Amino acid sequence: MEQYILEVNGLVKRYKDFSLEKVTFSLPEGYIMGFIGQNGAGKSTTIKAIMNLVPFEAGDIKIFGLDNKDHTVELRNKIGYVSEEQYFYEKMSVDWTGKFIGSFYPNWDQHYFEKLLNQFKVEKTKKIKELSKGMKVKLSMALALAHHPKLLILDEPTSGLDPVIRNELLELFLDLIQDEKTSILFSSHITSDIEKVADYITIINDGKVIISEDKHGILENWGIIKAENSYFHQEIANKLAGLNKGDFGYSGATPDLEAFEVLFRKIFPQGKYLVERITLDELLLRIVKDSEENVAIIS
Amino acid sequence: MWQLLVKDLIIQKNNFPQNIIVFVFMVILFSLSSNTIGIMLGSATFIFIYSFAMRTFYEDDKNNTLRLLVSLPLKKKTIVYARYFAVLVVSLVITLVFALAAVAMKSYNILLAPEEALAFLYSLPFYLSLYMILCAVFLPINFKLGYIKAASINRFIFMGFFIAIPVMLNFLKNLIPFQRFQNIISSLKNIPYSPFIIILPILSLIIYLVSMVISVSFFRRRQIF
Repeated sequence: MEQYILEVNGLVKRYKDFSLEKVTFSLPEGYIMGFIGQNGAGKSTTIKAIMNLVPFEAGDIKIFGLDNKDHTVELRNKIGYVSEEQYFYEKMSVDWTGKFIGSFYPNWDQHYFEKLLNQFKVEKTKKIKELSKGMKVKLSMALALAHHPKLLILDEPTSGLDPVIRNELLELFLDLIQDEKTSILFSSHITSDIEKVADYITIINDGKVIISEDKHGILENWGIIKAENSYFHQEIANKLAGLNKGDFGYSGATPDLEAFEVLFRKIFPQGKYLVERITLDELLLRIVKDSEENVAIIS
Repeated sequence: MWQLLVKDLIIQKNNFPQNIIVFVFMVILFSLSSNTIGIMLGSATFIFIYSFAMRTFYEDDKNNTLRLLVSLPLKKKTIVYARYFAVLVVSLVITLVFALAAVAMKSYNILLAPEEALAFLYSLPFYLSLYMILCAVFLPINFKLGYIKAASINRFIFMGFFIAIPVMLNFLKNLIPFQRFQNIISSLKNIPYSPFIIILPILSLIIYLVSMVISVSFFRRRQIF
C-alpha cells in the first residue's frame, strides 16, 4: 500500500470573489507532484492552507499522517517551504539571514547551506537588497533545503529564474528524491518544468481540482483529437475538452483515447481522425477553455 | 524567542545613533527654554522606547517579513511574546542607563543640580511605568492592524496622551476649589515614596502582560497573507 506524505481532503477556502471547492489530492512518499494551474487558479491558496498560513472553512490536511493545524510547528520542522514571493530583512546580509532562519530548525545544516549558496552562486556577504529576484529565489531554495526536509513545498520556485538555473534546480529536485523518502509538491505555470521532473500532476482551475493522477497515465490516456468537420457530431464534441471548431475541422482533448475510439466508430464507422500526443501545456489550455465556456468533460 | 529578540535589536542597531541625536537636540532645546530639565530628560527617554517599539513593526511591514516569521516553525504567540519581551528589555536598559547618568550628574554636578538629579533618579520608575502603560496601548493596535494602518492611530494616542495630561490637570484645577486642590497635592507629596517605586512598576507590568494577552488574540486572528 502506498504511503502518502501529504493528503488534502475536501479543502474549502472562501474569499469574497474566489473560493477553493473541495480540493482533494494526495502525494505519495518519494515522488514529485507538479501542481499546475493558471494564475489565480488557487495554487498558492492551497499551498498556504497546507502550510497552515491561511485558515480554511472545511476539509482536512494531513502531512506525514498528522493534522496540519494541530502539529504546525512539528510539521514545519520537516518541511522546506518556498513562497511565491520572497520576504527577507532587506538591510541584512545573506549570511545573517541564513543564521537567523537556521536558528529555528533543530536539523539546520550550516555547511550544506553554504554549499548550496556556492552552488547557486549567491554571495553570502551581500545584503538582501543587493540581490536580484532570481538570487532571492535561489537563497529561498537554499534556506528551504538546509534543514534536510522530508517534504518540499515550493510555490512557483522557478519563475523569475533563467533557463540554466531552472534546469539546475530541476536536477537538484531529482537528486533529492533519490532517497525515496523526500517528496516535493511543486507549483508552477511553467508546465515544461513540471513535465520534466514530476511523477504526479494535479491540475487546478478556478479553485477546483480537475485532474490529479500520475503523469504517465495522463500523457498516455489523454490525446488531442483532430478531425474534419464532416465527422463532427455533438455526442463526440461533448467528450472533447477545449473544443476548437474552425471552417474545415475541429480539435479537442480526450481523457480516454480507447473510449473515444469506440464512440467515434459507433457514429462514423468509416470516419478518420488524427491523434496527437498531448503536452501538459495543451491540456491546461484546453481545460481552461472549457472552464471559461462552462463545459465539463471530466467528472 | 531569543532569536527574535536579538533580531529586533540587530535590525535597528543603526537607529540608536539617530535617536541619541534627537534626544540631545531635545535636551538642549528644553534646557534653553525651561528650568525643568529633569522632567524633560524623563520624557525624552520615551524617544528610545517608542522608537524601538514602532521601528520593529515598521521593519516587518516594510519588508513584509511577518510572512516570513509566521511560516517558520514557531507559534504565532511566540512572535508576540518576543516583541513584548524586546520592548521590555530595551525599556529596562534605557532606564538603567538614565539612572546611571543621573547618579553621575549628581556626583559630578553636571547638567542638573544635585537635588534635581536625585529627583530625576527617583522619577525614573514613574517614567518607566508610564511608558510601559503607553506601550501596552500601542502594541496591541500594531499587532491587530500592522504598522502602516496603526500609524495614524498611534500618532493620535501619542499626541493625545501628552496633551491630555496638562489639559486634565488644568481641568481638575478649575473643577476643584484651589485650596482643596492644594491639599490633594500636599497629601500626594506626603505619601512615602517607597510604595510608589514598587506599586507603580508592578501595576504597569500587569497592564503590560494583559496587553500581551490581547495582542496574542489579535495576532492569532490577523490575516498575514
